[in-house]
Amino acid sequence: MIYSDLILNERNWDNLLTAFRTGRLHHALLFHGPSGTGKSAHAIELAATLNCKDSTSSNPCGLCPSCKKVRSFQHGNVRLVLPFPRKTNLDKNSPSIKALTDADLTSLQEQMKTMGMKPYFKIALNNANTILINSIRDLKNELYLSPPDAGGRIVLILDAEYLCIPNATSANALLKILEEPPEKTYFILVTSRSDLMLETILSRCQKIYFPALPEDAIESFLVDEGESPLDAHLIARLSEGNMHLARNFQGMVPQLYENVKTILNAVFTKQPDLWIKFHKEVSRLKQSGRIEMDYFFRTGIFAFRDLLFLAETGNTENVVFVDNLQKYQSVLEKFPQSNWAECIQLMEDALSFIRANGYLPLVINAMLMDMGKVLKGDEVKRFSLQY
Amino acid sequence: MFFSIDKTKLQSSLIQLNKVIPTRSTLPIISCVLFDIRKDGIELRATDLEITLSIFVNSEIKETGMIAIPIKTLLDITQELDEGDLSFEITDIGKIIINTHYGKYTIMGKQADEFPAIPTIDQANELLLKSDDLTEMIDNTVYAVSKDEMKPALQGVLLQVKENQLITVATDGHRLVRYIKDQAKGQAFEGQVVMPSKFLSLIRNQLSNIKDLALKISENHVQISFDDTTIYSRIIKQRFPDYESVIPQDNDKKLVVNKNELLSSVKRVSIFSNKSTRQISLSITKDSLTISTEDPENITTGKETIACVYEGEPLLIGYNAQYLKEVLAHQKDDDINVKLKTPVSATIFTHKTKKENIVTLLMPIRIND
Amino acid sequence: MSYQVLSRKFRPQRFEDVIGQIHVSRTLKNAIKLDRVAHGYIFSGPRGVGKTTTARILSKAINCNELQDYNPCGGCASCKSITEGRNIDVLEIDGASNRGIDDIRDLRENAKYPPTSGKYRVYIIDEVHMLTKEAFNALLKTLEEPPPFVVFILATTDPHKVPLTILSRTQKFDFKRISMADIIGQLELILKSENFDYDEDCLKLIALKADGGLRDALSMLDQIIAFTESRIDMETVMSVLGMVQQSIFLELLDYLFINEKGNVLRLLETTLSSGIAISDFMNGFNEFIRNCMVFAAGGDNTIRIDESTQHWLDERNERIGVVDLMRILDMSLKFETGLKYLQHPRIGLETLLLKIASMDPSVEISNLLQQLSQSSLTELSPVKPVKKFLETKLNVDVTPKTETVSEPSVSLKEVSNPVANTSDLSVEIIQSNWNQFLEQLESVSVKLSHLLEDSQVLSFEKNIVKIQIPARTNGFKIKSLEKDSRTVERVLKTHFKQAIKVKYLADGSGENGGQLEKKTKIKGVEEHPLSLYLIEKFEGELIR
Repeated sequence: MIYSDLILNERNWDNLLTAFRTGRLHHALLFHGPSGTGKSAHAIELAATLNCKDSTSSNPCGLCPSCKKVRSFQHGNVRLVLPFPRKTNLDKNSPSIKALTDADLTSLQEQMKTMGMKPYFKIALNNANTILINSIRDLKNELYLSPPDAGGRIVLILDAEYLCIPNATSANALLKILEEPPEKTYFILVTSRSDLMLETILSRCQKIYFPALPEDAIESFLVDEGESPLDAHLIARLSEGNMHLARNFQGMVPQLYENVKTILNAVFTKQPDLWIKFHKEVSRLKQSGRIEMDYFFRTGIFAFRDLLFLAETGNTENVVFVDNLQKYQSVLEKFPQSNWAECIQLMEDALSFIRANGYLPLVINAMLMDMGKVLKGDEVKRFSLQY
Repeated sequence: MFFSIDKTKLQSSLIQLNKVIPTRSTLPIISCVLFDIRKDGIELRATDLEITLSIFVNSEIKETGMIAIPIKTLLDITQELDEGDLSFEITDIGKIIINTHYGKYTIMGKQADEFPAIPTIDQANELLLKSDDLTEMIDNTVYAVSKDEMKPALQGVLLQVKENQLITVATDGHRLVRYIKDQAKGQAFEGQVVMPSKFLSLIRNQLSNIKDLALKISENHVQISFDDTTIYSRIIKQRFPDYESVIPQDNDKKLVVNKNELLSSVKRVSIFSNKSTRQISLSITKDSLTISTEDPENITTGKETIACVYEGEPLLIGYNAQYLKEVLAHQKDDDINVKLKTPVSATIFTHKTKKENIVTLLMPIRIND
Repeated sequence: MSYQVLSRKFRPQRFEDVIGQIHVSRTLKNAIKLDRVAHGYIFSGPRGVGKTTTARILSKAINCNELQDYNPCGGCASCKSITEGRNIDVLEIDGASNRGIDDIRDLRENAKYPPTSGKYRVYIIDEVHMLTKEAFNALLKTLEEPPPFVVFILATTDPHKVPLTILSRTQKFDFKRISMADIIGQLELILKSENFDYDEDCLKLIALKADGGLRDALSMLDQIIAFTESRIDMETVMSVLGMVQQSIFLELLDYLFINEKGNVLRLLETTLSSGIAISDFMNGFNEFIRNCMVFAAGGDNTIRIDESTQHWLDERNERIGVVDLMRILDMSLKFETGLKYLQHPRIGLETLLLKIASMDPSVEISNLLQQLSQSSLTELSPVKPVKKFLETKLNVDVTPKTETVSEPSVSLKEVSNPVANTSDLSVEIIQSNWNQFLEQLESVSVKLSHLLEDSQVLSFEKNIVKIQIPARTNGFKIKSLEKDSRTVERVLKTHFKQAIKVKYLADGSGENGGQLEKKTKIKGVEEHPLSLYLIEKFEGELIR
C-alpha cells in the first residue's frame, strides 16, 4: 500500500478491488462522507493499484517506480484537480496554472509531496474558492491525448463541491466527459459536502460513502504515534471520527480541559467574574477564527453530553472528559432537574448565532441565562436560525 | 558520475531542449534536463509531459549514472563560456560540480527516478522518410487543422500509412485537405495516428535542417528520429472522422482558372466583405468568373471579373474569403482544377502528379438573398 | 474495450426503445414519417430520463438513408459515425462550457455551411439553460431564420431559465419521470441479458431510490453488480443504497419503548459504524415509523412493513398507539429537517433518541376523559408528559379554525374540550390554563401576550376575571391592556368557551411594599453579572 498508516475502510476497499478485478470499475466514482475519513487517501491507493507493476497482490506494492510516482503525484497517469483562487482577469482559454502566483505554485508543489506521505493531509491553497473552468479545459485537453503510460488514468478531483461554487459552470463543463470518458480513464470526485453537488453530476457517479472513522481506530492511530492512551481516548472521542480534527487536538488536551472548566464554571455558578471570563474567552476566539471557536464550543457540548449520558444511563463508558467524573457527579446532584439535552442545543444555537454575526455579549448572555433556567428544569423558548 | 562534454554541443542541445520545457509547472522535475550518462555518451532528455525531446551527445565518460539538472542555470552558464570542454562531476547526494578553465560551479541536481519515464514504444512500426517529403505532408495540410475544442480529433493531422501510400489529412469542418504521397517501396504495415499540432510545429522547425528521418507509430505515440535526436509525442486519441465519405465523387462541373489571378482578385474583393462573415460570391459562367461581395452593414461592395474555362451550368456560389484565400494559396498549379456541383455542396480543388495527389475540399456558404 | 457502464451499454438506439416517453417517441417518429422535421426542438425534463438519448436517435434518423420503420438503421456510415460521436455534421455541445455569445456566434457561422455528408447539420445543445442572455439572443436570430438544413435540439433540466422567445420557436417536448414499473422492467431486462440472478424485492428497492431517473437506477445497478461476485441479494443492495434493515429499526423501537437507553445507544453505535450515513439512517427511520403509524391506525400497508414488525405492533397495541408513533415521528422529522445545520449531528441524534426513550406512552383517551371530568387538570400531574402533550396540543386545536384536524388527532379534538365539558369555570381552571391561554393570545397579538407576561389570575367572579400585573411599569402596562380589552376577551372566550370580562390590578399591597420590592429589584439589577459586564464594557453607570 502507498500509506502504511491509513485506516482502511475494508468494505469499500474490497468492493473497489472486486470491481477492478472483474473489470467493472465504474469510470466515475464519488467518494463522499464526513471530513477526515481518508477519502483522498483511498483514491490515491486506487490510482496506485491501477498502475502498479507488481501483480503479486491486489493491493498496490508501494515500492515499484510506478507506485513511487503515484505517491509523489508525479505519475503521468494521475491528474489532480483542486480549487484555485479565482483571478478576475484570467482569460478563460489560459492554462489554469496562470491563476497561481509563484508562491502559490511552490506551496502546491510542497503540499502535493506531503500528501503522498501523510494519508490524512489536506491540500489547500490560499484563497482557493473555486475549481476554475480553466482547470476543466486543461483536463479535457490532457484526456483527449493518449495516456502517457499503459495502465489506468485517474483524475482525482478534491473538494469536488467547488465545481459548483460559486456557480455550476465548471461542473456543467465536466458533464459530458464525466458521462463518456476516454478508455481506461477513471474520475474520482472527493467531497465532504455532497449536498452541495449538482444533481446532474451526482447522477453520473457511483457513490461510495466513507463513514466517520471508528473512534477506537483513531485512538490506536494516535497511540501508535506516541500519544498517551488517556489523551488519545479523549481526542478520538472529541474528534467524532474526523482525523483532521484529531490531528489538531493533539497536544491540546490540557487546553481542552481548561475550556470545559471555563464553560461549566460560567454555567453552574452565578459568580460574575466567571461569567466575564467566559465572555472574554469567546470574544478572543471570535478574533482568532472560526475553527478555534468551533473547538471551544465543541468541548462544552461534549461536556454536556457527558452529563446527559451519566444522568440517563448511569454508566461511565461514554464519558469523554474522564478527569471530570467527580465534578460531574456533584453537578448531577446539585441539578437533578436539569435538561442536559437542552443545554447542548442551547450551545449549538449560540454558536450559529455567533457565526451569523450576532452581537456577542447578548448571545452569550442569553445562552447562559437560558441554561440557568434549564438547569432548574424550566422550559425555555428557543429561537433557532433555521426555522 | 563523471564526464566531460564539449561546450558547443552542450549549448546547442540545451537550446533545443529548452524549447520543449514549460516555464511553469506543478511538477518541479520538468524544469530539469535528464542526463543519462552512458558508456559512450550522454542522452539529454526534456519533456512537457506531452512531447519528449531526446538528444544524444558523444563525450568522454568516466563514470555512468543518471541525474536531472535544472536547465535554466545550466543553459545560462554554458552560454557564458568559451568553446572547449566542461567537466561534470556528480556526487552521491546529487551535487553537480562543473569544472571549466575559468573556475568551478556547483548546482543541486534531482533524482533521476523522479523524471517521467521515456515512453515505451512497444510494437512500433517504423518508416523511413525523406525530410522533404514529411515537410510537404505537413505544410500542405496543417493550415486546415481545427482550433475548435469541441472536436478534439480535428485539432491534429491524421497520418495514414497504407501499403503504397502515405496520407495526411486535416480538416476543421469547413475545409479539408487530403495529401497522398505514393511510395515506391511498399510499407510493411498499415496504421494511422492523429498527430497533435504542437508536435508538428516543433518538428517542422527541425525538418529544414535534416535530410532523412525515421518515423515510428505505435498505439499511443508517434516518434521521429534523425541524427542524434528523437522526438516523441503523445497522440490525440480520438477517432478521426471518415474523411473519405466526405469527399464527393460526383462533382460534374469543371472549372479551370489561373491561381494567381483568382487569389489576388479574392484578396482585393474580400477587403470589402463583411468583417465577421467574410462572405464573397463567385458567379461562374462558361468563360468568365465574377468575384463579388457586399457588406450591407458598412455599405461596401466589391466586384471583379476574370477569365476562366468552365464546363457546366452557370453557378453562383458563396465562400468565406479567408478560407478561400488560404486554400488557393496552398494550391501548387498555376492553373488550378476545380470541381463543383451545387451552391450548397463541397467544392473540390485537385492537384495530381506522379509523386503526390492533393485534394482540397472547401464548403461553401449559403448565400442570403 | 474496457467495461461499459450499463447506461451506456443499453442506451436505446430506436425510438421505441426509449423507456417511458411514448408521447415523445410517437410524435417524433411521425414527424420523420411525414418529413416534417422542425428546425428547433427543446427537450426538457429531470435528469436521466432520455433527453440526450432521444436527441441522438433523432439526429441519426433524419440523416439516415435506410430508415427501418422510421428508426435509424444503425448500420450505415452516417448512423455509425453519429453513434461513435465522430460525425462532423452532428455536434453535441454543453451549454455550460460554451455559454457565451462568442461560442454561439461561432455556432451560427458554422451553421451557414451545408452538411458535409448527411442531409442535416444537427446541433445538440445540452444544459442549454446555462447560456447567457446575449448568447440566447444570438441563438434566437438563427432560430428565427434557420438555414433549411440545420436542426437544433436543445436539452435542459431547467426550462424555466430558457427565454420564452426561444421556447416559442422550438417544439417543446416534456420528458417525464419514469415510473417504478418501467424502471423495474428495464432492470429485469438488463439482468437477464447480463445473466445475473437476483431477488425480486431488490429491484423494487432500486427503483424506489432512483426516484424517476432511469440512469440513476442503472448506476446503482452497476454498483451493486460490481460489488457482488454472484447473486444480487438484498443485503448487498441495502448496503450499496445506504439502507438499514427493518429488523434493526424494530429493535431500536423496542429499546425506545422499554426505555433501555444503554441499548439504544449501543445499537445506534453499531448501525452507524457499519457505514450508514446519519441522513440515510434518519430517512429510513422516519419511513419506518411512518409505516408503523399507518399500520397502527389500521391502514393496509403490509407491503411496507415486515411480519415481525406487524406482530410487535399488534402485541403492544394497547400500550403503544398511533399517538405515540406520531409524537416520535414529529420529533424525528423536525430533527431530520434541521440535520444539515447541526454542527454535531451525531450528538443531536443521540439526544433525540434519549428524549424519545424517556417519553411516557400516551394514556388511553377514554380513561383520560373520565379523569378530567372528575377533577381539575392539576391533579393529573403524575402523568407529566401527557399533561405537557395535552397542553401543547390544546392551544392548536381549540381555535375554531382548526376544526378539520387530521386523522390521528381525532382523540385530540375530544380532549381539547375538557374545559367546556366542566359545568363550572373556576378560578383554578383558569389559573391552570393561564399559560396555554397566553400562548394562544401570542398567536393573535404578541404585544398583548408580552404585556401579560408574569401576570397572575387573582379571582374569577361573576364572569369577571381579575388579573394582577407585576409591579414594574404596571401603570403603563395596564393602560395599554385596557386599550385593547376586547381582543383579550375575545381570546378568553374562545379558549374557555365562556364570555369573560377582564379587570386589571396593579401589584402592590401598599406603597411601602411596592417600594421595598422595587428596591430589592434595583439591587438585583445592579449586581447582575450582565449589568456589571455592560458597565465595564461601555464604561457606563446605572441610571434609575
